[in-house]
Amino acid sequence: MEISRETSFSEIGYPLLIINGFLIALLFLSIIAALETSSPNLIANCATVFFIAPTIINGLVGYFLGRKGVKRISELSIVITVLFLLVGVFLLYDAVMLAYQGIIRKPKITHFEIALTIPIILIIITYIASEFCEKKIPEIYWRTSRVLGDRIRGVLSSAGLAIIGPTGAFFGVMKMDPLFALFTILYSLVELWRTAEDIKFILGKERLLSVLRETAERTFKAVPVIHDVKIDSMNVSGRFVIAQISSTVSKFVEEEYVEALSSFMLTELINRLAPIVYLRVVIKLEKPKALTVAVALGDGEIVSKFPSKRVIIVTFDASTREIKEEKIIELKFDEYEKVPEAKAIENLARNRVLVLATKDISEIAKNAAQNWFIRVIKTEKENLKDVLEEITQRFLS
Amino acid sequence: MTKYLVEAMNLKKYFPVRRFLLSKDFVKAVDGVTFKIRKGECLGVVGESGSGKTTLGRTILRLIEPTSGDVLFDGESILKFKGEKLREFRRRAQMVFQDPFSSLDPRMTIMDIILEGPRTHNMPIKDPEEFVVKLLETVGLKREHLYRYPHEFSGGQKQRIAIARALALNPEFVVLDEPTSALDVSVQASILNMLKDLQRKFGLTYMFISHDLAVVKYMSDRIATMYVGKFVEIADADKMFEEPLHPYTMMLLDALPVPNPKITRARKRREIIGEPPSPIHLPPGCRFYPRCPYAMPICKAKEPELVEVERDREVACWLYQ
Repeated sequence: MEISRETSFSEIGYPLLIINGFLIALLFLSIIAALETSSPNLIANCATVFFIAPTIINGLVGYFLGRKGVKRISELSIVITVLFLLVGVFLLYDAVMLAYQGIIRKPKITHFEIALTIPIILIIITYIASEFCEKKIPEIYWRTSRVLGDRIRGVLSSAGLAIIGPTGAFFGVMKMDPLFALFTILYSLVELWRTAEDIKFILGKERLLSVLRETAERTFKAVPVIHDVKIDSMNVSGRFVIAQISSTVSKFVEEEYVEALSSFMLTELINRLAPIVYLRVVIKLEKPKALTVAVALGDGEIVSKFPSKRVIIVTFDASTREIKEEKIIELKFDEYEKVPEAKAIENLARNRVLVLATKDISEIAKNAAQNWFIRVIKTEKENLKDVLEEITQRFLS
Repeated sequence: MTKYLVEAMNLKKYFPVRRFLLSKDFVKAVDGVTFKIRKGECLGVVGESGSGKTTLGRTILRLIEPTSGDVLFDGESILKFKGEKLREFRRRAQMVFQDPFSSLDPRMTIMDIILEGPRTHNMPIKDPEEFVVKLLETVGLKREHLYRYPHEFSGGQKQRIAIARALALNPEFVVLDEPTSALDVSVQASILNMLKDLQRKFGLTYMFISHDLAVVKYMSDRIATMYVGKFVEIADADKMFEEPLHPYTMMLLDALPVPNPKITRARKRREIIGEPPSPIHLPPGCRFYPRCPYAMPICKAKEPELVEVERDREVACWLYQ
């Protein structure tokens, strides 16, 4: 049996699509403004939009290709980033040359109506996109929302700067356009630097991989029902992480808790990794190679209710049904321990117990066991030997 | 007529924090709080500094508008109150602030301070001086204090004046926001006793906010523990002290000093490790799990709801769900 969970389209895919729609509108309008007006301000602004675009496009590309299981997303995102950077740098060069010519000679700016209205439209679109980003992406993905929002708001600063020069020129101060373009160009360089950092982030993929490995090894494998965790793929698309992991989980876990288990794994990955756009967790329910059982013991080998002073932990070989290992642990807690039941269950989880057999169990211990995905069996049998027999019959036959 | 005077339903108060240009985050000071206060009851609210206790107190009095949720006062939504209805609510629900040094106008005499409310609400008072003297005597002050200014009083006396000011409007509900935290211990006791007497005498309903657990236990019928904007446990005051259920409440109570050196030496206190999470970006799942000694995998994935585990006892912890 296999169960998989992934970041949903409505939570991440759909907002990314809409934000990319806004970005296309921004790109289109910036190009028109740059071509029609010959204002170095608006050309530099267009360069800024080109510098900002790859981060947002890479988010969308990462989401959809990640969903399809494409492996070489990181490489593709580098290509996208470099292409946009090249166009942006070319535009920036053009803006610098025009600004220089405008300062030493007579500046030429045409179509004032475009030069003055398009930046305002850009500001409005950016505002809507920014609000959309903050409202539509769920709180748990706040890092993703922040990266997208921060980048798209770059257009706002750029368009805000780009409108000042043409406004001065409109009122007759023609030199204001090329002079103010220097600020717009400087801001564009800031955005260029931020995009260049995307490449650095992609190249630093190993660091993220080690975080993922650590999460898999330490956090996930600490849960007894999770036997194995495999990182199927991990990619970085621009600023965003795409990862797929699969885990082998004991089939003895109660079905109703598999959903909670996948939710735990997904939430932990979202919390641990950098801004993510796509995560997929596959849970394979398999019969484990060994079954570790805890039986609450009273005096001698008499089964008692849990929490008891002692438990015996028995590990069966799942194929031969033979006992591989057994040990008795004392569940001793100091008298000031407020919830000894919870600590006792934690102790069992540390010993990788999958099934707890007991005469009776306290409510807290039962809840704690379920929340650690340990199966609780209430037995009628009095003797340890009979209980172990019952368990092997029930789980290993 | 409902038996509850105040009912808060999924009350939220978020404060925007601007980062840069349009970018803003929200401090979730109160994040989905639900509770009820019976008539004549005192509900204590405890929690660390910054847990949202004061914001909660202010929000249920509509001194600040909630982001979402609702507050019913005597069965009616206070968010729908306007004009005369709102004025009437302002009269019926009062607040005593934490710092008596800054909550009294230094340019007004005590007489004016106490009469300010009744005058605003056009309350018919035959003899204002006698009215104020009676109130002053109720809170343990004298006629001779009538025309003095706030700077002429000690901290304890100032807090008594603040309480008299609140009582001048004949309220039914009073939010006491750490009324004794700025006072020294000897004065604290007299103020607390006075508050209890006043509650009995006038049938007042209190919400008592404090981080001092001993004081809250003394004052309250029920106690709610607040952690980073949410109630994690609500219980009868005695029950909560005898057997706290939520790990955070346990740790808060463990922090209380025990006046018995033998017990102090023997017991191992479970200290609250770490800092509370940022109220801007809360961890997914239970907000206490990074500090919880009993954290389980489920705690990281899902936030527990406040559920009734026994009569009049609610707790938000996966150990009980």
